[in-house]
Amino acid sequence: MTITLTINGTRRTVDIDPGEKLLDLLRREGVMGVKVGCGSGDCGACAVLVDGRAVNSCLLYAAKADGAEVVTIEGLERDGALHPVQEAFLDEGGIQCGYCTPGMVISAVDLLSRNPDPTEDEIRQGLSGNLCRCTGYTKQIQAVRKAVERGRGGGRDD
Amino acid sequence: MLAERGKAARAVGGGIDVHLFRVQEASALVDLTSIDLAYVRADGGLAIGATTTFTEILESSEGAAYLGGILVEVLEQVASPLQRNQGTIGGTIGSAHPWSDVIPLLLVLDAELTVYDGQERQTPLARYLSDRSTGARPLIVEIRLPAASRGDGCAFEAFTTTGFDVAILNCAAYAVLDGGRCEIARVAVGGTPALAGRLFAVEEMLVDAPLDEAAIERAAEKTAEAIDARDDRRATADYRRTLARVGVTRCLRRIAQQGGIG
Amino acid sequence: MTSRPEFSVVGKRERKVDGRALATGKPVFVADLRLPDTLHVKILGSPHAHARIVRIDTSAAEAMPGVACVLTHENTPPTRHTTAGQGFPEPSPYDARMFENKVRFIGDRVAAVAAESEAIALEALKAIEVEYEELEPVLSIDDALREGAPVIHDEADSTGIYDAARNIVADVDIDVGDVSAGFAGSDVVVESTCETQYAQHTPIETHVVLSYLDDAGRLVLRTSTQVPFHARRIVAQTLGIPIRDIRVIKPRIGGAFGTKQEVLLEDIAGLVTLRTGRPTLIRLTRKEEFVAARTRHPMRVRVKLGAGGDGVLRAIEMEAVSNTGAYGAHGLTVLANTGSKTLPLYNKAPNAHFFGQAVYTTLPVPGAYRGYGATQGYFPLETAMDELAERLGIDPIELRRLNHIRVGEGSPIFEKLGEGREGVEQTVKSCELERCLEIGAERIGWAEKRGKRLRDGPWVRGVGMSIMMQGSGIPMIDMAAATIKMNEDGSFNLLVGATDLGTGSDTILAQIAAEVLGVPVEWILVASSDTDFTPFDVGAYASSTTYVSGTAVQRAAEKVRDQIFAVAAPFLGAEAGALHLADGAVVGPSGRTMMLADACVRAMYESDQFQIAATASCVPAESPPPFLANFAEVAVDTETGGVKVLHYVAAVDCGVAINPTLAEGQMEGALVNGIGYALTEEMQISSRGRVRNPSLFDYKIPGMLDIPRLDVVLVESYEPTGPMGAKSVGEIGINGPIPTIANAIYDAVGVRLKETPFTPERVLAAIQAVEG
Repeated sequence: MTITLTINGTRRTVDIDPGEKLLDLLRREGVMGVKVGCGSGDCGACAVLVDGRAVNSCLLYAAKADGAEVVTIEGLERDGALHPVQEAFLDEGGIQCGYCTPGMVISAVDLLSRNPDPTEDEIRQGLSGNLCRCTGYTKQIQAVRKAVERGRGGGRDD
Repeated sequence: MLAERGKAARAVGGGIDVHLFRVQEASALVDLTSIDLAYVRADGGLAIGATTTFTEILESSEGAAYLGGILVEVLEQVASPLQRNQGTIGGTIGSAHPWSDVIPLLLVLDAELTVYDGQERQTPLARYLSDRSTGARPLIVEIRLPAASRGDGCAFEAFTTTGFDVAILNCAAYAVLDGGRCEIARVAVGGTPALAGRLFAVEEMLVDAPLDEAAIERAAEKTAEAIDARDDRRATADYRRTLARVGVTRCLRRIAQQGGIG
Repeated sequence: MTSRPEFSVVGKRERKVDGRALATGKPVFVADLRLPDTLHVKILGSPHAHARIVRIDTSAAEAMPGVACVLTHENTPPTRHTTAGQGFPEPSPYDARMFENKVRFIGDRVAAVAAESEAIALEALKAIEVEYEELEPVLSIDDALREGAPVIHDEADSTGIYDAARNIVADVDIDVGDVSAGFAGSDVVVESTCETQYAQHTPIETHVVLSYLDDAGRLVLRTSTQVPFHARRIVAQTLGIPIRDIRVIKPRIGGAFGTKQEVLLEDIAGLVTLRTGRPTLIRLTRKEEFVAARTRHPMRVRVKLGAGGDGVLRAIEMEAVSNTGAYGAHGLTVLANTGSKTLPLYNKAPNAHFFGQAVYTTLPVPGAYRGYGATQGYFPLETAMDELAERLGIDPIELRRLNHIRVGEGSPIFEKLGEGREGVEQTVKSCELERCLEIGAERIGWAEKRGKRLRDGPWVRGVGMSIMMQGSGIPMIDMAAATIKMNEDGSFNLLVGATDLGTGSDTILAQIAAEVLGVPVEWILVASSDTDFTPFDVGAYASSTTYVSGTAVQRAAEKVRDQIFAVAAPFLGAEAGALHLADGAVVGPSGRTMMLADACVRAMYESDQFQIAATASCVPAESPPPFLANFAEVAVDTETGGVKVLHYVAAVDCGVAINPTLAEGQMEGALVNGIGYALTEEMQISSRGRVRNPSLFDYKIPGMLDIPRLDVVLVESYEPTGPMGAKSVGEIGINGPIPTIANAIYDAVGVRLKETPFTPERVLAAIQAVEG
């Protein structure tokens, strides 16, 4: 079947297998920022925004993304400027191997879009579907708080 | 459309469980989210469309207001935010996983479903589940929760290994109290490892009696006896009985407190 | 603490040099490179824990459209090797073949299919007919050692096995003094046996390799590895081709923690590419990662401690039996490390005995895993110390103070026990353990909380502590090298074999070079882990990268600095020895400067031209230990046995922290991994030897909701033998949680747990046993 969706601002019409997942479609289309971690929705490495909501792309049938706006980590940059969450992750040591990063950042962006000033507990809740084996999470939580502070200091508001 | 595709076609909400639990025999998947079944309406009680996602329920003011916020309390710890953005309440009931947190809660709230299998009809959730176990799969269209009563309270406990995990065992309880006496009592325990069911023997013990510490202890003991606890990868039967006792105790104590007792 | 120099770049929280690429999702991981005509490989795993392959018929699979090639024991080289990525000659038995007519665990390799797509490859696997002769499985250490047990490695051509007929891969026995006399002369003796479970690294990126032929027809392996040079050598050995015909590249990888210190897939991918001429991708699914990658060594370790009434240890005995699974990779060295990284900590004991065996079973294969045996050893050691303190009536912290190694001291264990063979004598030259204990105790609230058992409903609180050491590289064995070449704008290319697993080694090595060369980190362009272009490095293991690779970088930078001085000296009218580098310039004694760019232009284009460049190596003479003091506050739910870690303080002496953010990050990641190992992680094995929970759904690792308040405090010392005073920090953190949490649980509810993980069920059973 054929679907049309917007990926990081670019409209694309693609042929898909009905059983295909959005994760496979995206990587097939060269969007490599979306990672394969478990295929079962347990690690969150594959998280992308679909119509503004973060979901596990390994669990979403590509067909359900027909007509949708999909944003991946590659789509967060604007005119060479990183999203405050990306900047904060870099500054606070929230990235070690970087494999969980795309999904983690996407979840953080979704969280902040709905809760612009989360408590530490709310951050943990909001990112609870993203596993990381390298960092022990502490600096990632700090990074989200830092992104919030930056946002309030006149950074980009997303 | 489902009728056209025949028996091997499956309806999907978010599509999570169809993928994860290998519904191999599905020749076609019919996406119900394309029909507008996503809504949360307060109409005395609560009416939730089958394809409403968990997140949509959590973000609705009607959902948050229902029965002291119990829906929010339970739903916000189900799975992960990513899965809550995608998973639908109809889908989760339709999958009826034995560890489901939603089902025991809806059972003690006496939820009713509007289903469609050629014609639309109402059926209690419990009936839907028992029909389902014999192979019936009517489409879920809507979930209805009754209006709140004076003096009612609801509580839920789930025991998990890590925070993002399904329950080893879960308990839900609902009671209507009048002057400290239980007029209505409903108790359900799930993940035993079987799917939750109401424990009528326990409920009988509680009804028409004060909800005091002694009654709670008796009810908890009865719960441990009444459930069909088994060993599995996650826990032994014995431990599940312990959790059931502790879980029901904690639920009933909280309801008693909510009702101004204890 | 020896005073340390002022640094310009070292000690700064620099952003990772590869950070931006990772933050923006650039295609820098193995599978992000897509090549046309790539074949996909799926591996057929054995359904039996122990069996001979009597007959294997791949004709139907080979005939399927889209199948390019099928590999079995009948058409692949039979060379015995080890999959363990260790220095040559590897201290692990050569007991593995690419494919064999015998299988030794459920999931062991039977065959591999390369096809146009994964789906076709999977279909083809189903078409392979295999006739097995089932053999009796061996599912525990006790079963393996029992009289008349099946011999798991009964082949004639394996080497390096201590006693194959008895399933013993390795046997270690070293002693100092006379422990019997020591115990006899002790006022208090404590003995404790602990068991640790099958656990797994679960890197978020599973094992993956992409192989292809370059334009010259050479085999290139782009692989998720910790050990590119060992991988090159072992693939050459396994396939029977010269090393010069292989290039191994490690791009960015998604975590490793030891499981990628192994050559697991590269031989298959390489052979498929050589036979078909086509790029080949093998990526393990999460389930395959659980079943057929590597795990922690489950161990049973007994510790016996004897002390005088004064609290000073008279004797330490440690006996370890290690389950090394179906193959012996890392079997000897992990076993040896269990003693070599633990016993020297308490060098006040004049008598010590470490002995044990690593044993084959027909179970999933353990390998290298952060901590590498020390993790399993500290469990009984630090919980026995806790018990000893109680029996002596001494505070546990005080007991550690009386017994731990100090600056200026050594231990006979250092030279008697290394990694697999004898070690190397050494004296500790930096140790801030005293300050670590002081800071940790204060931060956790030790005096206020210890023994108080504060209650909150069903929850009871307790605090526990432990100390540990690790090492920094393998002395006299590990080698690392670095090459630096200068560019005419004053920047430098830093080429290192050292392997950045996400740990940030590219960054800290750049910081070291930048410090010596007087430039900002951005002027150091790091290229790492490419066997064609970067000089040798053993790879990332044994906490060696900062200490060993860092020293090589420092030496190379110093050589380059000297070359720059030689160029600049006549220009500045001064002796080379009177110059120094700062802020991108050469500075003379009078303050006259020559920009680095000018110096390089001069050398590259103008006069007596030569490439300013140097290579330097490092073989460390010793392995200075980092030290760690752990303090944890836990709450135990006395009704369910649930354990929550509320607060965890880790005060660590890693020498000078080249990059404090990265050092803290190593500690935090290791601690959280250790908490999972202590509380929730367990690979469950069925009665047939099958992994029952090979998924992240059923094997629970800590998530955001599970971490305590983590307080990592870097308590710096200055290690004179280390680059810029650094030691290491990569592994030590993972050793802390098990004993610390065990001791805290004891403080809370009076039960001593001897088996990990400390599941609620186990904790509750222990509580009820004490009460009943």
